[in-house]
Amino acid sequence: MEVNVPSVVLSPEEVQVLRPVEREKYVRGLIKNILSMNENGVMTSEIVDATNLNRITVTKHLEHLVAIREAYKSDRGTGSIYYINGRLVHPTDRLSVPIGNKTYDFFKLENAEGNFVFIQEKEQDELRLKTVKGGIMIRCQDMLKFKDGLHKFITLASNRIEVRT
Amino acid sequence: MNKSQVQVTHYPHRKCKFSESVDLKINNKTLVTPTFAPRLKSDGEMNRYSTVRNTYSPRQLSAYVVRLLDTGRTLYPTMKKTATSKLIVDQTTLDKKFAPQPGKKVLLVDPALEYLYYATNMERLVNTPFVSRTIRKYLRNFLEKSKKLENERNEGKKKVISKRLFVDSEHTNFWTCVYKDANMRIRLIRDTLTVELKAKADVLIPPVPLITSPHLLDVAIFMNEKSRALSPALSEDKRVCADYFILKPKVLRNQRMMSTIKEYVSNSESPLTLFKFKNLNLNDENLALERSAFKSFLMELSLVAHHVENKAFGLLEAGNQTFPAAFSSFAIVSTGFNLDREDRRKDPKDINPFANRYDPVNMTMQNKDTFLQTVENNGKVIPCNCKVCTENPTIPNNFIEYNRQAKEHYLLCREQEMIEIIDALEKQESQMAFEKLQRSSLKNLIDIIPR
Repeated sequence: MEVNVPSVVLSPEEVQVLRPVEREKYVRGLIKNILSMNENGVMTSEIVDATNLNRITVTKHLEHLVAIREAYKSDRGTGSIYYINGRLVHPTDRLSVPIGNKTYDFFKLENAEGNFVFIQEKEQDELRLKTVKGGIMIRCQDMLKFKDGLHKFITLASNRIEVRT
Repeated sequence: MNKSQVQVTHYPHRKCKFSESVDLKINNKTLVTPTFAPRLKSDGEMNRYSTVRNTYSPRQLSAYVVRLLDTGRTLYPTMKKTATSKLIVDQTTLDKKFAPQPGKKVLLVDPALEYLYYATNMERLVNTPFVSRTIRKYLRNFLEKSKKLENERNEGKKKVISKRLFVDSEHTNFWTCVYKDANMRIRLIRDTLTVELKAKADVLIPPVPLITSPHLLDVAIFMNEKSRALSPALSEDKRVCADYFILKPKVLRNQRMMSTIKEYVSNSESPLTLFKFKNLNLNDENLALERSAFKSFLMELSLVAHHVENKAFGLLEAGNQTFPAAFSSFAIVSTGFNLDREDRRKDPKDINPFANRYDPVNMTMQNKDTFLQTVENNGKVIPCNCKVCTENPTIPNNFIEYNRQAKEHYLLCREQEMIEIIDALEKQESQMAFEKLQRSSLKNLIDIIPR
């Protein structure tokens, strides 16, 4: 099966000329684009073939996207298939909660495995740039259990942690 | 989860035949098109534009264009003034006060690399730090070689290459190098887009050559595509990168090149495409072929704008074509704001201190003497209903005040023209543009409006 890729991608020589920070951003953006253009998922080798990027680089970025829950993967045999982490169920299903220099963004997402609440942690650096630091996905049907669990933990540990209201 | 930074909203009641007025949302700023974007080239012009914006709140003047080589003297003096007069208290104030562009206006920074071909502004390009080092290096070499050739020509040496041929070959060679050398190309794109981002441009405009041949058209398309691919790696908020074509008027006669451009434009992923026809005056009697080609070009663009989702067009340095282009398919039209075009090549001593004044009926510029004569013939009343003319019925003798009024009057006249277009579209009066041009000195331009 052929993988969909953006109509224009930089050649490996051009990517090589980029500064390290730009290269990281470019490759991550490109891989994210490819994931969103292929809703049925892509394998590392397919991205490597389509972009001529280094296999290690592609794997590193895919794993990073999985770690921050921008993507998820399912293991098939010896390889893994990577998917973009769903789309917003409704444009208004999002909420931003700024706490200190961090922002917690809540989204209701839909992907092949069902509906999820996605909580993404973003941090603002000294240049006021926001970067995604991590995220968790909770199934919508498990949300109340999760809330109860969180509440229980706060009560249990209230003597030891300071809860700011 | 990110939406495109450029969104076009169509309204059925603001559409008539090939013309349409849309809401163009760029970087969270909404323009009701057609929008007139004056090209500002100095701090003084910036002040005039800001004054008009603050005093009269013109809706159709919500965008402005600054050439990359002018950013230093246009956008940054405002920052300097603020820095010396205000005590900065915290980071928020700092960010707000140091922003080079005040208010909610859309800023386009034009790389204007046609000056690698035209001698005007070459010296300035060599010395400005805002232009990529690649460009400055090329221009330094070019000027050196050019001087050497000039000397050889003066010495009467045989077999000296003609000036035009020399410029053509050097220009084409430079862009061929850019086309072939990944390092040079990426540096040029990165440097240009970075300066645009620092100037807080709302749309990124790629560095492209002046298209003089089919080969340079290929280079321009290539640069547009590469810039679009690279731009997300440079801008934090994934600012949209427009497509840009700078064309010589003679390209209009080349059907093959024009159809390549049309094909590219309709398939391109970029929501905004900007065009610049260098030194084009379609009101010229001798340009009948160009007029017909321009008309078919406008028709094609208008069809693309109507049928392709999220697509808008802009025309920079529109000159006399400003009004018909705004009426046809261009969402943004821009032209110079200096009002002294014919004085550019004169000796500084001979330059008339009084700027030309826009005549809203003839739709052309008139010098002070003609303007005074017109006022005299009109019973000593300025024949204009714009707010500047009604608030200042006497003509100032002081040239500074005269020029200030002329510039503000010009902006308000253009605003009025854009409003007239929207009104005509809402009333489905497609004849309005023809009638207006028929009454003006730009009668030949009637031929370029699609019908």
